Amino acid sequence: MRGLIYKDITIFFKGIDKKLVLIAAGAIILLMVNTGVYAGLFASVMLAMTIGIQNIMSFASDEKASWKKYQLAMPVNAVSVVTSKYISVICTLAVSLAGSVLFNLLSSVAFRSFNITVWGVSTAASVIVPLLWTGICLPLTYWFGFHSAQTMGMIVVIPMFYFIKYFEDGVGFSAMTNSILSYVVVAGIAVVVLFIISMIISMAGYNRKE
Amino acid sequence: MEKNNILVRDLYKQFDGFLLDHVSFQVPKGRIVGFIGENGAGKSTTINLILDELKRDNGQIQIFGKENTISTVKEDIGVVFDECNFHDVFNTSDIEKILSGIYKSWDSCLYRQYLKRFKIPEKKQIGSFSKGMKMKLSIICAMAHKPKLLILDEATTGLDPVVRDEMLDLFLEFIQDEDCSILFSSHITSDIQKIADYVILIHQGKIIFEEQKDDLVYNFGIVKCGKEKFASISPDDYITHRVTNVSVECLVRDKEAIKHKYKNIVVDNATLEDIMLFYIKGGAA
Repeated sequence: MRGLIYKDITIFFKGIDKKLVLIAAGAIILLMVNTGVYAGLFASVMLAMTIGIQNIMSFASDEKASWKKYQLAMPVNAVSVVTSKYISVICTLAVSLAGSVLFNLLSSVAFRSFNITVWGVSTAASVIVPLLWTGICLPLTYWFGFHSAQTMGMIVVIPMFYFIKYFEDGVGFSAMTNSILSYVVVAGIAVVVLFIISMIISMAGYNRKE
Repeated sequence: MEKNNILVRDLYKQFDGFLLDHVSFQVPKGRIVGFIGENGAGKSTTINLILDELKRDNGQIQIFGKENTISTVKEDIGVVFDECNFHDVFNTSDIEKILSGIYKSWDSCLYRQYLKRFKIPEKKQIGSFSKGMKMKLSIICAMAHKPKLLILDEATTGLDPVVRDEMLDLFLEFIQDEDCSILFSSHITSDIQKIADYVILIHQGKIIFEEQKDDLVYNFGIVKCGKEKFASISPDDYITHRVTNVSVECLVRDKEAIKHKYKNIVVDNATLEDIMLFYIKGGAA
């Protein structure tokens, strides 16, 4: 399993598309300029989405190399293969978390405002978003191939867009302050459950044979 | 003591428009078995079934005397497909780290020796390799965990003659260990003719023959004669024949016997390719 985790993490980092980096960087800068004290939060969400997309893109490169055919000839079972994929996704959360801390730090310094709730929500979002994204897309990849996962990945962008819009409009965060922590906890638990279910469905998908 | 590394019995698999029909053969220890047939004959399907990548409908497959579904048997198998399955962004060090974390018996020293021997660049990304280099790397990786069985599915297809020759020499070295064997699927019959001990011909999902290569190459022959002369040859003396514009050609099992029986008849040596074409195309010229 060690080899497979190394493989997935290497693809994640080496396969980073320069165009994706440019688009994400542009969007993050734009968000940070426009959203004032919430800049760190929005930039974290944007980075987390980018991490999710990059994870999905790394699955695409598996398909391009016909890696599964090769992997099936190796002494590794479905549990190792799928678990290593999910572990590698969890490892990439470190990037998302580090980015979140950095963006919030920049935002706090730039706007001279430190809000622990915003920091907390940003941190939670930086973990929840990539997990949610891959939790939905990975089983689709194992069952229907990368393209269906890619389509679904794009659909996940829509609620994210509304989430950002909700805050951008101004009332969102202040209206939610009292209950936001409970939302985050519920969302966190839901994503963990989804991630586990997703793993089981992925294993069944990987085990399928013609 | 198990004498075969692969044993396939009555293997049966049906797809839409294709049937692998009760295929049986074996790959003995210390031997190279060439698996030939035209595209779509069933070679890759058979190999995928052996590797448990497809689910068989019926039959038995044993590797090292164990059911092929046991994943630990794959520890001792090296596989090379017709394309390089490594991602373009990797370099040879990445491959080493990946495969050493998968195969318990991975030998990094051996891997490095092979890389040096076959002049594979260590720092470059695989995406920048030529097709020949990619296939060499695939073969090296299949051998660096010291397997007992190599399964090559069109592994030399698309390589230039020089690289192919290097690889064939490597396979001959591998087989020096009497416990090791190779199942070598290819439609480049000259490669099979060069290194195989046994040859299996598959056509439309059925095994046509499983013979020792030397028997095929030294005993089989092609009779070339006019139509009148052909009329005098007993149908029992040839396997199949084809009529060309100017003559008739017959594939015979024992060329010396034919030379004795029919005087003034030309019997040429038959290459593996000739034999395959006769069996597959039959009477078609």
